[in-house]
Amino acid sequence: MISLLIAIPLLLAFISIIWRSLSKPLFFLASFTNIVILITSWFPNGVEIHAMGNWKPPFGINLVFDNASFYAALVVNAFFLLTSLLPGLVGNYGIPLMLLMAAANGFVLTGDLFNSFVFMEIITITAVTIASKKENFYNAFKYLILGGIAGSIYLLATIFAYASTGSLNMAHVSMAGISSSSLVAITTLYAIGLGVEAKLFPLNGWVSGVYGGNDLAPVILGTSVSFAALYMVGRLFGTVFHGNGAEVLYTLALITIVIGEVAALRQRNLLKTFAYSSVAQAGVVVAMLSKGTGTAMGLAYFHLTNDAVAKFVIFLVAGFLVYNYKNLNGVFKKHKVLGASFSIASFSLVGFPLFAGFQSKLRIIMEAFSMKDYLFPSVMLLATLIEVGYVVRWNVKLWFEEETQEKAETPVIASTLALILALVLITVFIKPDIFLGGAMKMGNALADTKDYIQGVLSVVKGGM
Amino acid sequence: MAMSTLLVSLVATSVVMYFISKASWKIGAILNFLIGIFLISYVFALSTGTTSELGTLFGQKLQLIWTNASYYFSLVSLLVIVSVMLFAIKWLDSQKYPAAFNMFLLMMTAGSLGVFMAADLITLYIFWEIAVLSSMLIVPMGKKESRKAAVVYAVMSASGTYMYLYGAFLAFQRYGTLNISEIAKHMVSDPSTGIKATIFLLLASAGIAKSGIFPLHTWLRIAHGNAPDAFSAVLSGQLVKLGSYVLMVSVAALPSLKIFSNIPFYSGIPATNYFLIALGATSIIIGTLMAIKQDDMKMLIAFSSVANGGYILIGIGTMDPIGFEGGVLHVFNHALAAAVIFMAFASVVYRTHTKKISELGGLIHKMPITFLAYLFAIISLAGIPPMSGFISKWMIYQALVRKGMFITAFIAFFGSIGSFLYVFRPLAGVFLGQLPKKYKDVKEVSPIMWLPMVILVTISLIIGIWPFPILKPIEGMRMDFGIAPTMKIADSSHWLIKGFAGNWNPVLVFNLFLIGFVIAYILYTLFPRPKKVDLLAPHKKEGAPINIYTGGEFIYNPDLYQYNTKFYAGFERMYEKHPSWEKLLEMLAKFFYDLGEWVHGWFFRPSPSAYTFWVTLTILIVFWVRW
Amino acid sequence: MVYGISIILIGIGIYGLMTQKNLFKHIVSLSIIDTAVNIFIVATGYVSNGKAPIYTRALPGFSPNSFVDPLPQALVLTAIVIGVGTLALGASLLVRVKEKHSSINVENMKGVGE
Repeated sequence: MISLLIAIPLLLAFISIIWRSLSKPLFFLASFTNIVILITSWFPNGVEIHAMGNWKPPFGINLVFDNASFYAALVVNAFFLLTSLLPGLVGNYGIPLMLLMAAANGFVLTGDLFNSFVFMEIITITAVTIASKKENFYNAFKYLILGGIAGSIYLLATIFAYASTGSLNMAHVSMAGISSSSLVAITTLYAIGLGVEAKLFPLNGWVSGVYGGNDLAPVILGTSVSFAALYMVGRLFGTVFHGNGAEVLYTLALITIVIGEVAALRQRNLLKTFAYSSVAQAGVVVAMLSKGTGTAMGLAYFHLTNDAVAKFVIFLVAGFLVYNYKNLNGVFKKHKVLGASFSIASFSLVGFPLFAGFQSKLRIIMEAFSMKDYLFPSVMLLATLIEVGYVVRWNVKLWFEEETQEKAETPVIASTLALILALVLITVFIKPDIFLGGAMKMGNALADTKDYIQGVLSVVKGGM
Repeated sequence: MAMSTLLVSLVATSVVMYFISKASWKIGAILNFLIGIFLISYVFALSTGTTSELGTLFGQKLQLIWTNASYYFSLVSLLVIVSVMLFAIKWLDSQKYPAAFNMFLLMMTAGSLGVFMAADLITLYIFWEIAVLSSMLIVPMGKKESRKAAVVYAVMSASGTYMYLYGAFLAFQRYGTLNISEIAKHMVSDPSTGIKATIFLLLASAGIAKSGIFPLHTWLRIAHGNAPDAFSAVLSGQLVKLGSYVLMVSVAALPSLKIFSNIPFYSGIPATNYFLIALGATSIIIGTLMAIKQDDMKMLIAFSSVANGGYILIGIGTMDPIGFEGGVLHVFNHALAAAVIFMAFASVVYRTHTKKISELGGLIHKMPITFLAYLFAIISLAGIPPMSGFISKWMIYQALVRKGMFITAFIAFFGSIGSFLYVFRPLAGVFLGQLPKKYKDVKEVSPIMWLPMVILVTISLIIGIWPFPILKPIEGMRMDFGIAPTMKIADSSHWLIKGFAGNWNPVLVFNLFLIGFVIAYILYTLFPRPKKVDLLAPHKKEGAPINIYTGGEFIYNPDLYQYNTKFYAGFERMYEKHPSWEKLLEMLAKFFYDLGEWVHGWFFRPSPSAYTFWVTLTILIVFWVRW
Repeated sequence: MVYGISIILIGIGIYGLMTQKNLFKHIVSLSIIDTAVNIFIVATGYVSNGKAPIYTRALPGFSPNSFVDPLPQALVLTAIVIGVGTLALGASLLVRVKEKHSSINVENMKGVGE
């Protein structure tokens, strides 16, 4: 049934090419169905695979459905569903969004290295299309070039893996073991190839232009696609390569954190500020993923979930503000609900208590300390310090500066959504298990290579 | 009501308070005040040793415990906060965001109480952040500059907080517990001095940042100076004391004398404590000198807060029984004095809309009650008997002299003399001297606004005469922390405070002062009264007697002869070109900005070519490193 | 030898991306890199004197070891399609870039601040 997660959006995308006007409702339908499918198969607690065309692994392509890919797919589709509720935001971009959804789902579910490359390329292509909204062509083009290079490198890594193991199946590659010298090449190339989508420094040059260029791109790329890309980092480096190459990720991640925050501090554009902040948060997540243990990875995804929810709210509000007001001084006086949601989300980002971010940040620091890593917490706290600077500056500016302009119409659905998500962030502070439970299951599933190999290679449950 | 229930419901109530205040801010303010009164009664009713649990966070229990220290600090805080809440009932009508003010003030109260109740480092951190966050959101409600002030405040405070957090986790990683008293036990037996000292300094840095100790003192000027006027009273009178509390926790609750007994530095004081004392002494110098040259009366008192934070830190840092008590008592004295001073300023600003000393003057006749409250508050702040401010300073001096710390003692004396200078400046500039014409219709503020000032001043005076009720919990604290537990300093049966170089009998001193006052009053009534002159009389009415002239010239523009512009010019000239720490920190901030600019320019803005270059370079470097 | 060609081609592509000011040449360079990777993929599957991977007993001297690996060729097919997609999208974006910024030369483009 899980192959439907990819098939439905794909099918509906093609249908809506014929009936253009239907693209918005169909997009909603696709994401809604996907969520329903996921809910009906809540946490498999094991490894289920769906061998396409009934080719037994390691032959053919198979989709893997375990706790990790379930949780990732859930988060990814949830944000698509939220986006589909905002027809104003979706605009004419229903079709690319559906394709992006299919690709993201495929990227998360696939158990095949080459297949994941294909899905990554589709993600890049559709994401570039989405990025070009509001005539943001040049930045989209830059993204395309960088994505293209990343794709080539990713493909190269895949071929190396194939050449040295004779298989493309992740479980099989993981089991076969690769000679150390080619493993260095493979993991390095994967780190670079994934680094572009995972926003690692210095491969993340596209982020500010794409996220800052229109209202739709950051909302969906900063949440769903980020999550999918970072899921793959965990899957490849945690499950498949047993933590080889983690030190590359760790180093790049630490640099990414500092660079992202520093760039955000200097930024005068609201969307770009938080684009850079999302870069920094990706760094935090990757640094945690590079630790390789189940708990660390679980916490990383917990943090990522919190960050994604907060970023969804922030980008939603910011996108509305930037494209409706020339001067952002004091605009929240006119949009109190949007303002409150934005403030809550941004404070959650910093990790102030009473908000979800606190739970994940503190846990991450604690986990890092318990692994005797003293560097990462200090980098993270320094980053948080810078974060405090710009988050407070923006909040103060948006709430307290003298307002000058006419009020734009308040977007009702967006306000409601933002407020609900903001309340979710508060709820997560009180009951972290809402996100933490799933994230920990995901982390453990990623860390448990043995189960994964066994599950994929021994169990076969029918084709389509 | 359990403490945890209280705190949680306070936070929840604060949100409700916003909506109530939205309907009518006056009702909100009154409710706030009533809640404050309830909290005071609650604090009185709670018996020490009561514990309560807030829940668990990642397997760690979040615990609250009511100690003598919690009692003392909560009481001081509530006195200040409740006074401001009362003050705000009227004062808020001059404000733009009364509803949000009510909400955040209440939330901040909850946060502060939580800090004092916390039994472990994480609980402390959580409530600390709540207090900082909510106060940080009140600061930008002031005038234009307050926007920047909020950012500076948030960042400086966060820099201390995150160092604290790092220290807390370092302690947790090493000792496996976050409970303060458990950590204290483990630290005493831990052989590694380096780690202990690191933890100690990291924990203390939150207090350093918050109580405005050098080198993290610069936010006080901008935040206290620009925050909404009445809220400055809370900032300076109460929030800064959170920092003192954390300093006390890291110095006394973790028994630094025992923990660092292997690194004595001077006269039995460990190097770590001495380091803090040195910072405190620096703060006194900087705070005093900078306060003297401020023309903005709020900034002046903000710098005085820096200096007084230094006194508190020195007192506590000595870990000497009398010094410790003096430092802790100074918390109370400074809290009350600063709160009254800022409320007096708020009243002045409420009526005159300016906080520049040079634009004011002669308000003594227009606002006599405010003037008196201010007068008594500065007497206490400068440490002159019979106000309570003297006692704490006296105790700190006793300790310093006994320990033979002559440099520090000299600095403390210097700060005390300096405080005469700087508190006199607003007194002379705002209340005495010539009343500018534009303020001739200024009236005294309403009783709701002067009442809290009068109450606080009265309390301060009473404690100055009879300090034993407040010394009792302080002695209790000293016993809790095991600082010379056999010694008794406050001897209420003999009306004495026992020092090393002599005793202090506050009642006797008060009576002497009273007699002096009576004599002075008699003399005042016997001698002729001064006569008021109208400077412009000759120009208003033909043939009016000329009462004032200077250098043989009539005065046509009396405003220019305001002597409070460049009040201490001669003295200031002595350190005119001093190096500015504030500039240094600004440079640091600018460095990060420029770094951001550079990063943006090099990595994010350029064309695809540069992106390709970076990707290639990364691949090459990574390969080079890994092979 | 074939590996060498593909590495040289990748180098040419990267050189093109790094030095060219014309955005269309960037697409061309990207395409060159794609091709180079594809050549590389095909080369990995090549066995010298190998036979077409057709499983038949009719062939004399049959041995699976002498087969050319068919999988890379299948992969290349997919990769080519994706490359075409990228190329098309890039070209169409450039048309719009030209409309908006009046040039596709990095140095002459207008309104590309920040």
